[in-house]
Amino acid sequence: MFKYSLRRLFALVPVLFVISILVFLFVHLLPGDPARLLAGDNATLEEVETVRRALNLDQPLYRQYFDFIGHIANGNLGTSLRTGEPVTTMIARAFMPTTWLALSSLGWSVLFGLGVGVVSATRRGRLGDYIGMFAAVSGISVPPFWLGLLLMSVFSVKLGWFGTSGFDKPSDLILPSITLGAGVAAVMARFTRSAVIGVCLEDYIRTARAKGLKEKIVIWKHALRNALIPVVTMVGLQFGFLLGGSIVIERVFRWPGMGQLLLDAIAFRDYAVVQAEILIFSAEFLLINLTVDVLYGLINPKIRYG
Amino acid sequence: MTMLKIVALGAGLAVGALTPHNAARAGELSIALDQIVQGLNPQDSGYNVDYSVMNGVYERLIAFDKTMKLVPQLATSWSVSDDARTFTLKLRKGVKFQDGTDFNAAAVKFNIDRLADPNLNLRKHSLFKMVDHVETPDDDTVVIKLKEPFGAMINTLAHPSVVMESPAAIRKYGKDIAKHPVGTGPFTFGTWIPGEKLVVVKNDNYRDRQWPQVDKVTFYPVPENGTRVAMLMSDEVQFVSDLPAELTKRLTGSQNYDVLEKPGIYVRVMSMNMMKKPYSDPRVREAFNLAIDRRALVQVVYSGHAIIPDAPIAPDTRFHVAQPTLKTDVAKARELMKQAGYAGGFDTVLWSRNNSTEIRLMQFIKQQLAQINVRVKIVPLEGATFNEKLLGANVTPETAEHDLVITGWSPPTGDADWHLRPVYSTEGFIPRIWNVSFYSNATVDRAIAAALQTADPVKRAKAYAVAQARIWKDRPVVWLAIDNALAGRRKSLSGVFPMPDKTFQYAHAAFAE
Repeated sequence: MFKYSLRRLFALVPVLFVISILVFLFVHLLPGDPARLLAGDNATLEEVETVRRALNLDQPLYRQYFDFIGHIANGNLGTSLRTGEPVTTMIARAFMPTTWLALSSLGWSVLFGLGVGVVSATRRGRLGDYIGMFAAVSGISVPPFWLGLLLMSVFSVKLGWFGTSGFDKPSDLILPSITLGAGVAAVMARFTRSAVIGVCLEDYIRTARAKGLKEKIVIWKHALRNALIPVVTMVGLQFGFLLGGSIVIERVFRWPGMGQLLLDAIAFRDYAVVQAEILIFSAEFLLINLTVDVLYGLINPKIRYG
Repeated sequence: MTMLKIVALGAGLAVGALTPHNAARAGELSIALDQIVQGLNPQDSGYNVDYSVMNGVYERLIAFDKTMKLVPQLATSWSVSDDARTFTLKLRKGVKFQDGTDFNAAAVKFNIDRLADPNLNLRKHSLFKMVDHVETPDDDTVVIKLKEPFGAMINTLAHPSVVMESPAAIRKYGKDIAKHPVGTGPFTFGTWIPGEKLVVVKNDNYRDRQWPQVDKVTFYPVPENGTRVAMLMSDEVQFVSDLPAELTKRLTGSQNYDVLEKPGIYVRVMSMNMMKKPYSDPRVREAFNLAIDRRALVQVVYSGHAIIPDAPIAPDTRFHVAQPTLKTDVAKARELMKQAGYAGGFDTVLWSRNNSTEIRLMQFIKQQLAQINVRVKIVPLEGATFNEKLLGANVTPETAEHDLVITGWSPPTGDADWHLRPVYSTEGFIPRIWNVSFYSNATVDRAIAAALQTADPVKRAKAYAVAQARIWKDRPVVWLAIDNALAGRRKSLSGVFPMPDKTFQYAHAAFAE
């Protein structure tokens, strides 16, 4: 198991290298001229050329790629065209706020989603199921920016319980995590419900019931454990997306995270920052996929790789 | 992540949820910005937001009052030679930079020499490329000598990027002056976390003992409109820059906030590519101008928060001359289209950036032009793509793809020159500056050039009157609206207000008891 994980981990290196080339090309082939954008509104061509010289954007593309790779080899992601700050500093600052938000959103939404899913599955076609699935469909359908602004206007503006936005203290996590987690909880609930319903049709569940086991144990121990495989896949996927930073939520809640950083960087074609962020997202996804694969083995001993 | 931290986090969540939130403290001002601060060196920036936040830290030689009239700031008076090549300024005495060094003629010379130096690649170098040299006959007098006449120089000195920075600080920090601003203003730089917040604090040694009246100002970049307004309503900020027109309703009539509104100098137009048929035909351009109901436009697109242009430049821009009113007359527009051979109309493409105001403008125009059988395809473009397509290096008058484009211009110098020359002179053809219509008229070019040969306001006014009349007659664009500058402010706060150029001032911020 350990050997297997280690081997998988090493296999990520060439994948990341290929990604670095793709990312570089993708970013540089986007239409848009950073010199023009950074020169500001109403800039003259002369001002644009001044900016281009000042930022070394007049270098040929291959030179810029080697600079980029050279920086990475030295554990340095270059400097932002926009502010001149080292990209590592910017990412270091944005990484934790996004991770906190991702963990807190995922935490409540997975527990809540699992609970609602199981309850809905066992009360299939009854009132509890309808209520649960109504909530789930609402959670998926509500646009997050609207939900965010709604929560803000009720709990921050009207009631004054929380700050509207920003991340200065732990309580600032509450509204954004509710907003961000709503969609995830809904997906989890629906997913869990169908997985549990599927498993309940299996023979071993009938056997468990025939043995005279309590319904609670049948559902929570036998059915849920087997239903967890697709659910874990889903959690992994969602976590990957959440770590990427939700651009909409981060913008609405003025969250100093990866999503806002990426949005600003793309708007200004701040190449170094966009490249670094995409590279990090890719690495995160690869690692999460690996973790999910390892978890499969722990949940279901039948799936163990040599 | 230690267990302790997790516990602390949980406890914090609980406590935070129970204590009522109130960020405002007496003597501390917080401001929500509509854009992200890019850098703290206005001389090396093209962004209004950078100029605004540095308005309290840095000062200019000459500044603007609330209606863009020139007023003394670090210079007390100025005079200009008849040939518009020698500009003499008398400086305020006894002014010190925040690092304790003297503000004097040598410091002004240092700043202007820097701006004029092409090797430093400062973004606003082009404003000073005509400077030959700067003389300092005594400590309080500066003489700027130009290579060629430039009648708009005094207004150029009032450009919000032309701030006086401490030479000692520039020597110390070099390029990093953009992270350590040191000026003469009532506030000194505190901290800056890019993308998160900027703090400036009271300058205890400010020359005017009456100011500043607040101890600290914190700026938060909040690009999301709804969030900006929510922050004002929960008193987390006391001033909101660039209030979107559609959200003003939430604040009007309230006991706690004021909506501040003043006519701006940003003239929004729809440019027509005159190198192409059918826009080379003046009858078509006139028909387009007649087909648009501007009063409806101001209501539909701006919820009433804009005015209708009465000249190519805004009323608050220096040397503005009102022209005959733009009329709406669809019957006449149809007649002109018929005369031009387009009774059945034609298909055309309209570009804009993908912000909500411009998209609403495009939809409105599409509907209005349908009345004269013109079928408009609207194409909203992401900002960088818009620039690439319209202003890319390989764009020439002959090959430019565009038909119609929503554009606009605001002259930060407040002078007619920097509106007419970029937008309506042959010299201004895109991608060089911003003449998107490729409008070229010898009379206009001559008048614009003549107005720079002198600094005599009477002669300049005369030349600009000629240029404006001719441009108005030729209809190179469809004039749409002049956006009002809008801001939200807590009632107890005074001295913070938007300027017509869409920057804002906060040096005289004060709270009522």
